[in-house]
Amino acid sequence: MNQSAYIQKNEELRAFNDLARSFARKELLEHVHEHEYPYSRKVTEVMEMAIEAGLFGINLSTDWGGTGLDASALTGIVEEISAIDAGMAAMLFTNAAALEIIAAAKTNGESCRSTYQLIAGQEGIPLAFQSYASPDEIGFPEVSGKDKYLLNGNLPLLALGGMARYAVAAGARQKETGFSYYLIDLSAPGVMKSDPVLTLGFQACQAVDTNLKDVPGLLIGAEGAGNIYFQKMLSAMSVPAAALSLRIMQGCFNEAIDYAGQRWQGGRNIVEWSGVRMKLAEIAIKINVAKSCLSGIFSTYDTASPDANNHAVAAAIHISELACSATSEGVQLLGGNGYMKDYGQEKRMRDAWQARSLLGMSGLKKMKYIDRIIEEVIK
Amino acid sequence: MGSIRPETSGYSSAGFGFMDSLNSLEAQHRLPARIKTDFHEAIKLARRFNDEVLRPIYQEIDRKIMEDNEYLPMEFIRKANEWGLYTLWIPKMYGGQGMNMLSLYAFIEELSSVCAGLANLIGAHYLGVSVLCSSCNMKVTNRILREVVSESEKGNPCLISLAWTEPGAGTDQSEVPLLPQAKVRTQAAKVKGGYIVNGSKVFISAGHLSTWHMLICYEDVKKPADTIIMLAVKTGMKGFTFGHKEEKMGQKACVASELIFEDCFVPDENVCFSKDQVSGFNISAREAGMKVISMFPAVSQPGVGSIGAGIARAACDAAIRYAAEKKIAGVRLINQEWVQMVIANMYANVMTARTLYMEAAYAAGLKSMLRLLFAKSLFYLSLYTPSWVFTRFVSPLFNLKIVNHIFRKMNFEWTSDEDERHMSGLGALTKFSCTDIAVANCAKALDLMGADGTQNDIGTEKLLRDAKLLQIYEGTNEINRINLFSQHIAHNIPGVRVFE
Repeated sequence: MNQSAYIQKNEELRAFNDLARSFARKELLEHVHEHEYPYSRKVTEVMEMAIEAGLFGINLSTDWGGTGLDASALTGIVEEISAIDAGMAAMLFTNAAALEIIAAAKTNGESCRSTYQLIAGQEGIPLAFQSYASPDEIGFPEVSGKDKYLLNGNLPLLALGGMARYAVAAGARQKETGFSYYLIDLSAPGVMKSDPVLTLGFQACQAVDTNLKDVPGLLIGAEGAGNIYFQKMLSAMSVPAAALSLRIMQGCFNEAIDYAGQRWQGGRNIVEWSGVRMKLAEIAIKINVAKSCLSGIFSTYDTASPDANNHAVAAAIHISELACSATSEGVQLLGGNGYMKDYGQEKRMRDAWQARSLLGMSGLKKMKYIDRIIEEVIK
Repeated sequence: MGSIRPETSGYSSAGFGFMDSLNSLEAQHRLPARIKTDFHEAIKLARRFNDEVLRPIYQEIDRKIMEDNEYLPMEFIRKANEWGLYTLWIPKMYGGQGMNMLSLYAFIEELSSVCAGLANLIGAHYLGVSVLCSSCNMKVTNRILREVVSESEKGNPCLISLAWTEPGAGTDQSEVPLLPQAKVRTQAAKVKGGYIVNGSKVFISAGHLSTWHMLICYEDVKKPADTIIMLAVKTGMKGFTFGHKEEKMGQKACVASELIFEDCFVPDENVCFSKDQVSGFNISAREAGMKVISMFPAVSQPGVGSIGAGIARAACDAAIRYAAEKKIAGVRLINQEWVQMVIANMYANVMTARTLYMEAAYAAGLKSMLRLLFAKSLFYLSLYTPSWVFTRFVSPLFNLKIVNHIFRKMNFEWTSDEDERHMSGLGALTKFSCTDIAVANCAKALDLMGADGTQNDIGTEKLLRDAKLLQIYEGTNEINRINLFSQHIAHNIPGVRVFE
């Protein structure tokens, strides 16, 4: 079953996609650049509107006030938002990734009741999370205590850390190799946050460097099982990640083809030059390959293929790479205009690069990917 | 049974000029040995300037402009002027310090390895100087460059910009077959005592920071190829104003300006080149105009290549330092083979870019309008002759029509078509190759560094933002590819058509 068939099957999902599209057009379209550094419009206000509309609770259980869909259901919503403002899509993505960590713990047999109780309460959503990197890359705060866990150390580049009340954060005990996830209250004494870290893309989804000093953490799931939860989350969130990159690419292509039809160079519209057509063709092919990858993943989900997760991770890596090269060409097709803020191409290029590092550096993701395959082969 | 395959002579070709790509070999015996010393001095100076001026401020300037696009880095310009950088590469015959022009490329690479935007605040000025020189109008060139030097000595930086790109016409203005159809709008109408200019120019590097603007426009916008005119417009002239400053992705320190001309009167004494100045030469106005506008890219494009090499090098440095420090699951990244292979490729890219722009630099010294400066006898004569001798005895000669005539004759008629084709193709090759390499190395660095690479204060993301512009300005890399094809490949293929 392809992606569109999957979406058609689910009326509720379609309603959310429509909602996301309408939200993006109404609340984001005119203000995209205002959500970027130096932030001339308060991003928190838009985020609150999105929370109100239910866009931040898609993969949160209905028992706790969410919609109760799985992460793949987030795909269409992320796509719709990303078509207008990938930075805002990254906010949805970050929150959903944090929820997936908790969901992964729950499916492993842990109740996570206390965690959900806090999330369902006032200011429970959005959740901050280090969605721009994998735990292996950024290290952990140190955890001490037995029944009551205290976290000490740095949580760098905590996305939504400046806006959220709670964060899902990794922590590890000294001399232990495994890590665990904790829910921490960012308003607790001992939490110090930097100003938003200026990043290449996704500037609306502000990240802060955070320092924790004896900050209590609520253990999510089992101690030492962090990597299992992270890998489950990575598999689940790979499809929305791929969709986010795909839609950046699509927006870039739309802008480029529009421009090429209007821009006059050397006695004709540039779309009439075969060199321009070839570049457009290459972007269009990348987009269609990306769409096929996504459709393929949905098929593997429908057939409950054991390889579905691996496919999703591979597709996310591949599509994020395609988006980086496609958006660079998208800037190129607009020449000097593409490099300026006015046409949005330069932002798409920056966002595509930021998307590439979602949930970890691509080299590391590739190595983990092949490790899993080799493990399977050896089995 | 006979073969049904048609007979073929194969597709191997003898079209590649072997010696054309080995300018360094030629340069060994034809260029003065002293240029090696100049290179060392230029690199030493650049490194000191980087440490004392660029590094302490470049990130802050980038951030300031993100916050306020109206901000101009005046303090940097003043510092660069204090260091003498705006006159160092102006030939002594025009009152400058006379450092050999080829060493500027190495200097720009060094600066670009820290900040391409600030480096371009030096580079764009010398692009303006090159354009002025390419007019082969000794009188105007001498007057303006001497003013640049005297103002600089008084502590007033006096930069020159190139004003060429228009809202409706960009790269197509620089190609002979495309110019006749370009939608140009900036027109200079002849009036008594000068020209009245109307129109606008966009994306002008360092426009707001420059005192002089080498304006390339047209006497008849319907016949641009036949009516190219180059005017020297000074900031403050009536009818000339600055428009908006572009909000760019990178190279933010080097403002991209809009220049607006509304009935701007430019006196005859500021006409650097016009079709009326071509009489007496065995070429048409169109040929002369195209020679003028194709002369300076041969000198400026290796400069863009050197910026590309600088950024590629910075990206490689960043990747090496990062990989050496970063541990993933207790293992240093630098000890992973796949990382070593990535870094080796980046290193190779830097070396390739540097070799390319240096080959183009040698070619510029041997065959471009600079070649006179690099003739050994004149080079050493200039080196050891005190500046006052040039001022007192040589400078007045530039006002003589015969001197102008000889100089133009040399550039219009005594430069072979083969040399021109070689220079133009090599400039294009250097430009697109080095700048593609810059972007490729930034991509590799970001890939390796993940989220760390995307943080502004770490600096690597700025490299990518800066590098991307290199693929666009001075002719998009696409047009440069076609130009290379046209100059080095097409002439060997019967019936081939380019830009049609």
